[in-house]
Amino acid sequence: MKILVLQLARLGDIFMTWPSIRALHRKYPNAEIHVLCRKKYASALNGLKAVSKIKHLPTQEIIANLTSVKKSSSEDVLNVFLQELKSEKYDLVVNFSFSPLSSRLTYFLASETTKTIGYTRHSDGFFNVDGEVSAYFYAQVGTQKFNRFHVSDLMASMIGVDLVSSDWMPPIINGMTLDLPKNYIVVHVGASEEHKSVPAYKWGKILNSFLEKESQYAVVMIGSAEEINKARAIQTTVLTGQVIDLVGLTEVEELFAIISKAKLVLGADSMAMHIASLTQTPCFNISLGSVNFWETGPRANNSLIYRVTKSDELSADVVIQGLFSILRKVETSSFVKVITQGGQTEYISSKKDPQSFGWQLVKSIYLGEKRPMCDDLKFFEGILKMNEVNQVSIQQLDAVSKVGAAKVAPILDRADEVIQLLGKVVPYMGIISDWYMTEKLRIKPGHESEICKEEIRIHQMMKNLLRSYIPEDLEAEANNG
Amino acid sequence: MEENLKVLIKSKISALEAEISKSEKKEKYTEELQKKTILQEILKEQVQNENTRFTTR
Repeated sequence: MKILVLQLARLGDIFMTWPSIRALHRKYPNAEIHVLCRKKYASALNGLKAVSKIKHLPTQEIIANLTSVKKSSSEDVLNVFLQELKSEKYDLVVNFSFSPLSSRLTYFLASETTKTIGYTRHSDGFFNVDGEVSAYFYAQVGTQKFNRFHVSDLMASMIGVDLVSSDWMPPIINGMTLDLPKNYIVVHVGASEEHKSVPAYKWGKILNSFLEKESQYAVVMIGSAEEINKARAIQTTVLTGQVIDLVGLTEVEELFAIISKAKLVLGADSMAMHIASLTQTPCFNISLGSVNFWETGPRANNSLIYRVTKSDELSADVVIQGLFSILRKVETSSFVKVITQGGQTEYISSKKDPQSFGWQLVKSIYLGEKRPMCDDLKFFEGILKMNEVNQVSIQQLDAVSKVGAAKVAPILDRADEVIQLLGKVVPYMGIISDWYMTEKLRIKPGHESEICKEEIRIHQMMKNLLRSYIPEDLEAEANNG
Repeated sequence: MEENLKVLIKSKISALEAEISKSEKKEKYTEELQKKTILQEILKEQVQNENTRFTTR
């Protein structure tokens, strides 16, 4: 058996994919697993024994051939790549990339003998979220959403496995000696995106305070070459203790070795934290801005998450409190606590959860759990409005056989626009409208009557969902027009 | 990315867009059309820096 895994995202996402690739290997022990990634991030797969071949997307060659005077064009480069990929005759293609490009590549490789999992296209080229987990991902995962399933667990669900402890392991690194002090903490100074990153002056404040109080520890700074200037700026502000600046100087294997021997990793949502999840090194994760720690947070046991809306609100004293709590194994209720056992992770917070309703509503839709109660009047008003629009759509769809699809299509389109608008402006309604729009994307191309039947099925599901929040008398009124 | 290269990529994206919409009107999602859309997506990612997880359509 031959399997291709598509992972075209960045370093952190590749590390979050490791457990699922191992689980895939556990599920199909005799399978040859290939991974398609971008050349610049391919080193993130070094040492992952479950992978037998790493393939690169030839982006740079394609770009270079746009300007080349040589005979071969970008189209030729792409053709060679695609034909080579197709000639592998994969039995299974698993798309863990969740991107438009990956959906097109997945469809290109699909055949009667090549099954696919994840985002793909319909036979007419339209986007298709194939499978329940992919549909969930498309509708409910990302910033400003209520998802609380970790991306690594969602990937595992896509391939139908539960992750176990052995899926969360670092690579075996032989013969690497580190010239570092015995006791050190790792600080990842940057993040993949600026909005997730802690500013240099804040790092300076945090490190000064830490090294002043904990002189037995050194600080090892890591990061990418783009973060060299930031690291220098931090170092100039640190007046005490030992700071070792390795920013821009480390290979991925070295990062694994450095992080696995560290007492903890301090940083924002970044690849260092995802490496720490594999080395089981506790993290103090500063979760900034729109980052959703539930879906990309640390997995190492005893890690702590410090949630901050803006970097201005980030308190050095609070960070120090968290670092002490991990290093001295002192219980604290100030942070979200990470409890990991048997490959499964729970995030526990003692604080009031203002977004609990959203998550309960998501679970009620996707897992069939009981609908949660809500006391937000705007939500009920939104439900009534959406129900009205849904009723109109059902009536229009019922009329298709008499008046034809062309006549009702503009009304249905307008109804969808209103549903999406309600999802944007009314609290929590986005959960319902995103679920609805995603279900519609899953309708296959076909005869008008088949599409109509599918549309009605989705609107009926929507009706059942909405009626849970509509008092009986109002519902009867709405149904009677 | 260099500004000139960005302009070149954008013009190639537009050229592909024109070819794709012309083909879409006439034919199904053929292998040739699939290749064009793949190339277009690769180029789009370069100018939009979209190789992150949550980019969708």
